[in-house]
Amino acid sequence: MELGTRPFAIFSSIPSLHLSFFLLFKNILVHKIENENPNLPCSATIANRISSQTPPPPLSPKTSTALRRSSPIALFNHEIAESVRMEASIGRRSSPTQPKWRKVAYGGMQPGFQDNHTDESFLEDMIMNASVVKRDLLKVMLDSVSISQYVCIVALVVLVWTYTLRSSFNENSLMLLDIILLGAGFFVFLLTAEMLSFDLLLSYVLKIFFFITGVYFLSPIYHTLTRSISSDSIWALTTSLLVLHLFLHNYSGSTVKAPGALENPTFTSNISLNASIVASLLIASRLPSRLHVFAIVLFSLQVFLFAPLVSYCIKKCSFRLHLFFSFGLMAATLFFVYKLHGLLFVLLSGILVFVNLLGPYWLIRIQEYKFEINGPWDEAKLCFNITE
Amino acid sequence: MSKQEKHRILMVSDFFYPNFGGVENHIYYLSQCLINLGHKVVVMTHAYQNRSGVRYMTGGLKVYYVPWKPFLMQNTLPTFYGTLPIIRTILIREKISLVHGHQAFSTLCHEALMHARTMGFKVVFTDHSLYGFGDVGSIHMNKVLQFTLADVTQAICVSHTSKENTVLRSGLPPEKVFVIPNAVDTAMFKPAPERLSNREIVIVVISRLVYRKGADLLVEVIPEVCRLHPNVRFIIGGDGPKRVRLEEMREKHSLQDRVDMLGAVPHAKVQSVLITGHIFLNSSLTEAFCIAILEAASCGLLTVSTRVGGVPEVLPDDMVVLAEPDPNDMVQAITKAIQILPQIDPQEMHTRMQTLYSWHDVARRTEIVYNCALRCSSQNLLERLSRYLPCGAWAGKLFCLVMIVDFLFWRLLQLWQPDRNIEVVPDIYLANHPRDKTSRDSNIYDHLR
Repeated sequence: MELGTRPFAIFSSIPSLHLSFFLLFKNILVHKIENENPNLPCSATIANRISSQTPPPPLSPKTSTALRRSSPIALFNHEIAESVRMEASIGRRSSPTQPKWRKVAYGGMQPGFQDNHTDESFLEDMIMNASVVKRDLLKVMLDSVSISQYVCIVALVVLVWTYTLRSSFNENSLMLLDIILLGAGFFVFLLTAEMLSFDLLLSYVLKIFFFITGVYFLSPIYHTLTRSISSDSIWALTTSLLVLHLFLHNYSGSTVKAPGALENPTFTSNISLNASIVASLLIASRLPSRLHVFAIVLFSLQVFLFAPLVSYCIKKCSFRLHLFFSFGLMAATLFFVYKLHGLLFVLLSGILVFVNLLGPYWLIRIQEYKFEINGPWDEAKLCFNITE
Repeated sequence: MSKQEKHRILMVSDFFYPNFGGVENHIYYLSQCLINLGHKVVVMTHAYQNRSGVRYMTGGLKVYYVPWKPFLMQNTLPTFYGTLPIIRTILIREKISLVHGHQAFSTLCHEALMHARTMGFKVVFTDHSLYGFGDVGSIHMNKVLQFTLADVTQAICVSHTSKENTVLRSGLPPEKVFVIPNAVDTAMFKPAPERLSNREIVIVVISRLVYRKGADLLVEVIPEVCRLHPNVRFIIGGDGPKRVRLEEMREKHSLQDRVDMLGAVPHAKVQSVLITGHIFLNSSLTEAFCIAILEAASCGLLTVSTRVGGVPEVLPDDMVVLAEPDPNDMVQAITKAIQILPQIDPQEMHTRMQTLYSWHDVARRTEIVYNCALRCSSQNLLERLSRYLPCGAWAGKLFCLVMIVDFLFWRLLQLWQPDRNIEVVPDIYLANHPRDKTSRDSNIYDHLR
């Protein structure tokens, strides 16, 4: 998935920061050159004047490929750098007897050149937009389906919580729901698994058994955990934890390690998982009986831990199936939310439209302002893994 | 020496002795040499532990340790206006004509430059470090730098790479940025009196053992070099979070008798460690200008270094072997260095370094920048605000607001404590003014002119 692990962050803060930074950068350069040196002719005009007479210095291959890919602003900055270089070269051409300027720091001031001399090689090692990928609108839209799918899953969990708190669901139907989910999840997992063995299955069953027993024995503690806290605080805290969960969730993989998954879960995805678990425990502690608590904690944990894994397996198996599953899920969620509350329905559909249509469009639009600068001043990256 | 006017300079940075590093060194040596040239220099920094108030150093260099406590990495808490009263008092007391700030990380430097501009002084800024453009920290830092440099009279960078970086980060016109490298006190870094035998080759590493200095590269390189060259021994001076990794490496490959870990080496002892070796290894991942390389070369060591930042500019090609920051390439570079080692004469290298680098030369060149800065026309508040406004849709207006408030605060201070009520410090001229030192280096200046 091209979109990266934190699409919301991509959509919101960082590009705008980048964008403003580079717009600023553009403004200031123009301003500096035009306003601050009224006695000096503007470098850009010099560049224009001479560009008709002398051919511009050839671009290095790296720079020119970067240039082809770069944005209007990048082009603009490149022009500035070019004009600076040209100015320097004009200065040099006027006195051909001078020794050549060298990019060295030793040996004191170079004869014939001031310390503020700007050579034509100035910024020639600068590489622009070296690692920028060109994104395709359709692909970004399809990729963002994973996000809306997960948002719907979380919305469904919240629905179940609400109905349980309103006592529309009793503990037996909750337990039934748990069992159905577990069975369905296992079924999908088995269908999509590449290699199966009895040992693997046995280990899964054992783990799930331990897990369920643990939750069962801990449920009395959860039941009384937040008795002294008011329900309003619990709801507020749960909402903010869920928002945090959605923001930091790893949409491109699964925090619970899928068999065959290579990379380890990241720090943020772990925080996200923990936020969701705390949220479900907070909700569970508002419930009337221990069995309720057990059922709801089991349900939430199943969803938060294993739903990403299951959807990851589905996506890996067939992308088309993944799309069908997601759209089905979205329709179902919208229907249930509509039955619950009109305003929430509007909110959720707004989020879905934003994530699937507006967000990708926006991302593609602001792509053209993407402007990366690399050069010899960058910190070198180590080409091997550091194992602490 | 021509009959130029003498300046009264205030050097400002959070980084000064007793703290130790490249910036501290630079300020100290530059100040000493400027004093030698007949200028008056005052240094201002924040208080270090109980070192607060005014101190004098060699040559009558006056240092104000203003009573602001550092809060993070020797930086003072950014307060914007908190330092205005004391900076104003110092500027008036010492009859300063020009303010010179050092290092982009230093909040005290940024604040001092801002106040000095408000009060109509000419300011010069020296950037000692490199910064990327990628992460949030860099973006923030670049914004702060843009704010300070929007109105700076002249800027100085320590290497050409650093100049490119600063011009990109701050949007300054390149002709306002001067390149004046650091230098080395060759009298302090002399090679060993007699040549070391080449039977056993000693490679010296002196750096803080942190990620940015490439300690992880050392972990990969050292065992491989020890395997390839049985007559090589390593001496590692320095301390830091990565020291544990190096010690683990030493145990894993049973190199206890071939890798010496000295721990932190005080600067006064660096020379004595350097002269025990043949090759100096620098593994930094980023470096604007590496003073450690200069010190090593001055001690007659052949340098092997990563090709990062401004390092390739520092030494002529025959005095250094450069490698990409990649373990294999570095091992090859060390092998190459061991091969050419017999042709290296430490004494000759030392003499060459004396001609290549001198603090007096640095002071001379800085003086030119000062003259340049003082020749620039003064600007009133409105003209200066017009420089801040284009710094960004929001940031520009914010910067202007900050400057207007600073201006009002300054006016208020003038009413509350008029300039004439601030006592002016009489100048002290030391009897034994060490002028003879300049004559020793005069051959370089003649050569330069």
